[in-house]
Amino acid sequence: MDGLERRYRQLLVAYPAGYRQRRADEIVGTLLDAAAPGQRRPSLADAADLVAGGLRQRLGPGAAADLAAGRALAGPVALALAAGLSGFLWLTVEGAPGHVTLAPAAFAAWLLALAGWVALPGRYARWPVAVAMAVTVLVLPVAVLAGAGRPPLWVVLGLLAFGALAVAGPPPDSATARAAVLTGALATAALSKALLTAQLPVTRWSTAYYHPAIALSGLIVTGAVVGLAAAAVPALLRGRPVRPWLWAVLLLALPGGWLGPRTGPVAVAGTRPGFGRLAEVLLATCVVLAAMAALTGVRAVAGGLDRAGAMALGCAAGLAGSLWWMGQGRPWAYAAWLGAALAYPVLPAIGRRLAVAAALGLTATVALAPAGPPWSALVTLALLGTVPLLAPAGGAWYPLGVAVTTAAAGAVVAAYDNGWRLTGWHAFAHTGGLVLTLAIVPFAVAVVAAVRAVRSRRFAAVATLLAGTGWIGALTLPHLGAWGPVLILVPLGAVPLAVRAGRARAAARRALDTGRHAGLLALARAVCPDPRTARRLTVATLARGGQRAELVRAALDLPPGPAGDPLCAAVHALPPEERVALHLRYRAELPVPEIAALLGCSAATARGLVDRARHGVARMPRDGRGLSSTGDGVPARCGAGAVVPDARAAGQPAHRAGPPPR
Amino acid sequence: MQEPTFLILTALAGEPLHGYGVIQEVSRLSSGRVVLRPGTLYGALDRLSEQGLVAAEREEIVDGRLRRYYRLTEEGAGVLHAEAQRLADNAAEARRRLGTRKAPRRATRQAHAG
Repeated sequence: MDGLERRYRQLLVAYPAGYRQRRADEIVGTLLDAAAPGQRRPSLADAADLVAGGLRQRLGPGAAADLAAGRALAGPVALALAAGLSGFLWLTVEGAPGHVTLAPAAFAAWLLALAGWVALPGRYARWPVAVAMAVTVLVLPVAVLAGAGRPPLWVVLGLLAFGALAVAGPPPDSATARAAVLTGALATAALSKALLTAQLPVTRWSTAYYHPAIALSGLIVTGAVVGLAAAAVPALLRGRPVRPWLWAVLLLALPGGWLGPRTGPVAVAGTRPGFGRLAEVLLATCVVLAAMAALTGVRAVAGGLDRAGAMALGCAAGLAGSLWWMGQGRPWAYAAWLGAALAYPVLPAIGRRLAVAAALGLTATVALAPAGPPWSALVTLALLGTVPLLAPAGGAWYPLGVAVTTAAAGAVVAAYDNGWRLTGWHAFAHTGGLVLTLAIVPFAVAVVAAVRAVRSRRFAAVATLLAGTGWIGALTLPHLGAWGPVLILVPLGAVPLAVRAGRARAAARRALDTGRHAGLLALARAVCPDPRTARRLTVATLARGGQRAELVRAALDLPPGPAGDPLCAAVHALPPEERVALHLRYRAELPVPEIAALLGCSAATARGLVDRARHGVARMPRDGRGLSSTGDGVPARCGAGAVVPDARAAGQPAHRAGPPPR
Repeated sequence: MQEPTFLILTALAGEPLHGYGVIQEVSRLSSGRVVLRPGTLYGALDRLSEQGLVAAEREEIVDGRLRRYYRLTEEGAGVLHAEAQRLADNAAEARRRLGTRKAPRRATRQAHAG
């Protein structure tokens, strides 16, 4: 395997493992065919295309389309925020005496990016943004080399995330769009300045670099996030697609969570991991990513819990290695976790349980001994260990990979806290606490996996849920006052959506009890013999409220179509379940497995329904020709919207209609 | 139907092609305007296979590289035919209207001149 092929295969990691197994050889073959002679590395465009393709494959076609639409909404807002905040920070903070850093270079690049976006033709509009991102990254090493000050790390990361959103979205296509971005940037800068002026008498901002300016930046971004969420309301009321707006909100909330206002440093005392900027950034990232996962559709996945278990063990091993290396306490407890992670690939499930249990036992023994390692470290390791103990069937090499990543992240965090030195830890309690904060990530992953597995593996899921939320809660809830607004708003926003879904289910149940939707229930019974499952399916279909329930309902109540149109009459004459299957397949363009999931039958049954329906329609006379002879074997004129085989070309409104107002 | 999808189906209309063949053919059909990259191409091929418009036909191994050939199904041919007909109808209608446009304009100008 030469270098180019190896690099292509590394890029294919973006695709799900199962897909990779089936298609990697073929895709790599095509990539190598298309490569220029003598080419050594994948081109940037090919790499981006592969990563995007992998993401689409992981998200599923519907969510990928929603995400693309959301990206288009968020991109201009992100650029306006980046440019506006750059202008504001440059004028108000960098101008102050004694605060001379290299940040103005990056800020100027962002203002130029805005100018480029507004003035350049569409196809070049995104280049200045990419240049601004590069300049922002370069400021960090140059500042170190030149011995000058640098902007705070989270400001840099926030600007980069905004830039990535702007580059990922489409370029501006009209004078109005360009003017809107310019106006947004000016409004951002003006609003920040006004807020700062209002706050200055209260805060002695000159005593701390970027305080309270960075906190205000977080507030402004939160304002933009809330504004986008508010803009989704008219779409919701009109029954237009809402998910693109929700995606846009979450995409902006991600960097918004990093900038969040912090009134002052939270004292990190003793040996407990503290709730500082790192904890807030990690938690906000996890919360927003969990909300994104929920938006792609919470599927019941039993195996995810095992993956989370393997990850948790890997993280425990990585943390144990970091703490051992920092030379605190007795290494026995730490060594046991490293041993369990190393033994994972060779042991069967029961052996893995025993290894983890042994590590837990050693941890408890060390905890009882006097002058052992700090309690917080042992409790964190033990709670991380409960996840693989409950779900030991995860990927064999996961723990090692995660352990190496965690140890590397721990080294970076520790070095940062120790003044970029890797020896002579002078504040172990603080540094160790900061490193332990990294455990937020595996705990959050475990919580999401547990929620998904709660149907199929009740005990393991509930226990994991308790361990994960308990640890995260104990770390963060005492400092609720210091949470940034994004961190609070995203869960708060998810609550009404969850309540709405619950209410929709209750309403669907009531409607079924009063005898409405008899047609839908009859359909569910026709494809699903068990009456209880049929009822659950009907409730779920009705409560999902979105396009699918609409489609099933529409298929059942489909009007006969234009009088005298034999095709529509033929479709209407089909048995209801065949009509629904035909509708879902050709108008909603759902793949057969999704139809099967929706109707609660096997894929083979769903395929059979579709085929029977197609043949049923084709047998009907239509202007003297059978359907098969015209070739367009789809009922294009029945109901609203035309049938176009390309999902994207079908236009989002045709089959991605949002939930109807309730 | 979006243009890349149309071009992929058109490329496969003649004979079965493998991935790189589709890329070359689409580039040729669009005079180099549409450059398909493999991630996009296989996303589109997956979608079209799922819709039953194209199907994998055979595999070959050339220089140690796997080449899977795809062909247009009957259903795909029907859809492509319908889409081509629609585009041709649109183009014909546009031409017809452009044709009727010239006459009154000239007539008006002549009327002013006269």
